[in-house]
Amino acid sequence: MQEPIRITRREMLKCILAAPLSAVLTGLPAPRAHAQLDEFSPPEWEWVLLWEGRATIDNAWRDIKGNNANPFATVSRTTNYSQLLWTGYKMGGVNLEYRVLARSVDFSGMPLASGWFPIGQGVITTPPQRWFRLMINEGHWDEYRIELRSASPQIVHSRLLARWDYLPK
Amino acid sequence: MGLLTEIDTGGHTMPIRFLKNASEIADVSWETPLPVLEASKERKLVQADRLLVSDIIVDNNANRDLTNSTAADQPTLSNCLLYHTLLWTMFKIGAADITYIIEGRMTDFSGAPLDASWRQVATGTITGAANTWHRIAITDTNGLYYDQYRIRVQASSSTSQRSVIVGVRR
Repeated sequence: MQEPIRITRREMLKCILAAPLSAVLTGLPAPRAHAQLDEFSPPEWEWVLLWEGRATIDNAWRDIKGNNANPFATVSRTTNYSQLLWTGYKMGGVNLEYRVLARSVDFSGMPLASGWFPIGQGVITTPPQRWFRLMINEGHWDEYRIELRSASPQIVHSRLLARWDYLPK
Repeated sequence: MGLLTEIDTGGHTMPIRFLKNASEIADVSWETPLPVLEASKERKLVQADRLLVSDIIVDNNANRDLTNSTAADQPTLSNCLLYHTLLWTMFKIGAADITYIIEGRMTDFSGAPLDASWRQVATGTITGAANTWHRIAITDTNGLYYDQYRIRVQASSSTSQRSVIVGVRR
């Protein structure tokens, strides 16, 4: 009777990840498998999609959803995230002004006070129908509002991601 | 031959077994599939916790902390060993400048402070007009990791302020 093979989950992962590739490359799975495993490292964070859509931006300060009511947050419950990554696509040729605002909330989810803490602002000057990207490095705020303004109306597509870090092993 | 339970080793077949838990080795089957897809999910994501929300009137008392306590030995925050960084958001209602002192200390296994008094972690002054938001990142090169903190605030004239403190693990 054959002896059962005792194999841990980690060992099985080595075989599944590395052995097929190494077999193709060299025909000698074992040494290649170990080399591959040494280079394998788990991800340090993952991206979480917070919002995706488009809005018509005009001369009023509107958020990326098109909402011009300043007290409303664009995204909420963002305390865990260390960064936000905003990727956009600008349809018009007019410059796009932006400002990034943030605030904290109490235990019930109510904002600590009226208004916002300004994190950053600037102007997107790319030509029409071009992509742009903005990394928001000031993380761990409870709520964010990303406002835009354009001298003449234009459609802006947005995709807002949040970076959620893993604890180191 | 089962779909997942055997592999061809060139002249004979052998079952695939794996360590299901600390003491059990199981055959791979539909009921007990290989858990390799769980590998990345086993890692824990960083949690940022809301530790304190307060609304106090800051005055000239140098011992007043964010919980409105003036007892010098009373911590503002406890059980904070997990936190690498504290993020303090303040909404300053009055116009007066607010001076702050942040102190930390460690506790023994029973939770009692190792000794009296505190070690100063940071100090500074929050300036600006009335009704403005402020944020202070309290951290250190290698992380904070104190068990307890006392956060004292003082102003030359009475002024209201609201605070939220978020602890960030790393």
